[in-house]
Amino acid sequence: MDARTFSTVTLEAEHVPDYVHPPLNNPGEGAQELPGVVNLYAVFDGGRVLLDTIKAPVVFEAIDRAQNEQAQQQDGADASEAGGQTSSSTAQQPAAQYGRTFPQSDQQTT
Amino acid sequence: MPRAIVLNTASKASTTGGTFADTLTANSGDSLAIPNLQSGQGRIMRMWGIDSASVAELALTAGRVESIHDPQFGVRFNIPPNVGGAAGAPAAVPLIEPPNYLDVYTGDTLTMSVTSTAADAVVVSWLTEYQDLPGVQASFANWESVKANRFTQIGVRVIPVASGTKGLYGTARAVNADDSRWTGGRWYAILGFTVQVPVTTVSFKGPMWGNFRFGAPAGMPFLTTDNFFVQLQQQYPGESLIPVFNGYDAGSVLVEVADDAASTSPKVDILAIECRNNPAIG
Repeated sequence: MDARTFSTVTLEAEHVPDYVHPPLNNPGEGAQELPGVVNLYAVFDGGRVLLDTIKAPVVFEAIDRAQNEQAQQQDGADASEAGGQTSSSTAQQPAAQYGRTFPQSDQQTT
Repeated sequence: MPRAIVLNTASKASTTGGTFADTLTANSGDSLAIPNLQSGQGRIMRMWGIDSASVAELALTAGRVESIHDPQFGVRFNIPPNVGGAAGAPAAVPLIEPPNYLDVYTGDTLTMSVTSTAADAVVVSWLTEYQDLPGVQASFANWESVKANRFTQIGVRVIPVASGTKGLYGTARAVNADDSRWTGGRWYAILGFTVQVPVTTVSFKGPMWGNFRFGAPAGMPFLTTDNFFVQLQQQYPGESLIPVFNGYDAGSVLVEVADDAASTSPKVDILAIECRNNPAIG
């Protein structure tokens, strides 16, 4: 068989939220929404191959950390432009991530 | 001679980082202290640990020179972050595996210091065998006894979720909360379990085991969890290490999970042998 070539190879990520149904003996407890996982795919000419499954909080925390660092850098740049005056940080706190819920609308492919 | 097998977990959700700058604390219900033993004899049979994002090093020390060489760094263990996959994917790294073990003594207290990167989560779990722990006569069997009493085999789903705080146990879930096929009056020997998502530690707890935890890691590189307790017993041929409970008690057999990520839901399928008689005394 001749070696195939691929015109387009990309990465895709898909967030798959999870939930836990209530215990059988306590159906009134309600279902619990969970962060679930992020599936990472290699896409060969449109064909997706699962590369890895990463726990979603790990990914979200990395994003928060990056945004936090970006905001701090922006604050530093603003302070320099203001002649050394300090400005209050608008950075997000990563710890706040863990209280949030993950509705179905969070599911997205990038 | 009441014997017990006890799982303990120590963790820190967000380290400050630096050379042995952080000390792990025991999870709720667990302890780093060695209890009073009638015979003074105990040993850590297995230990595993994980850092959530970076490489870490653990220094395990104790007060007794018969147990650990010195109180400076004691026994040092490396914990690589991405064994067999991306960071956040593995369950844990083996730290103490049979046939090696670590002696522990009455009144001693373990100390776990870690070198890590700031904001990482570090989780360490270990199984300790006490030959003579007052107040406990834990229900464990050996493989020969389980085979001799074997009737059928069953796999049962239970869905515990790890805490929203990294490293801590989440809400306990009874083994009949999601699948209630256990039969009252029948004896069940838990061989192991399988999971969908890697998790650092799966804990089982119930009155038949003195309300102490026992358990196992699940996921890369611990992939043969389906008969984890059988394998552990076979590595200690003279010991009974397969947990046994009666179906009437299914509602009080509780499963909890602790992980280096928040809110992990591994979806545990317990693999058990239904026995004609109690294999723990058979």
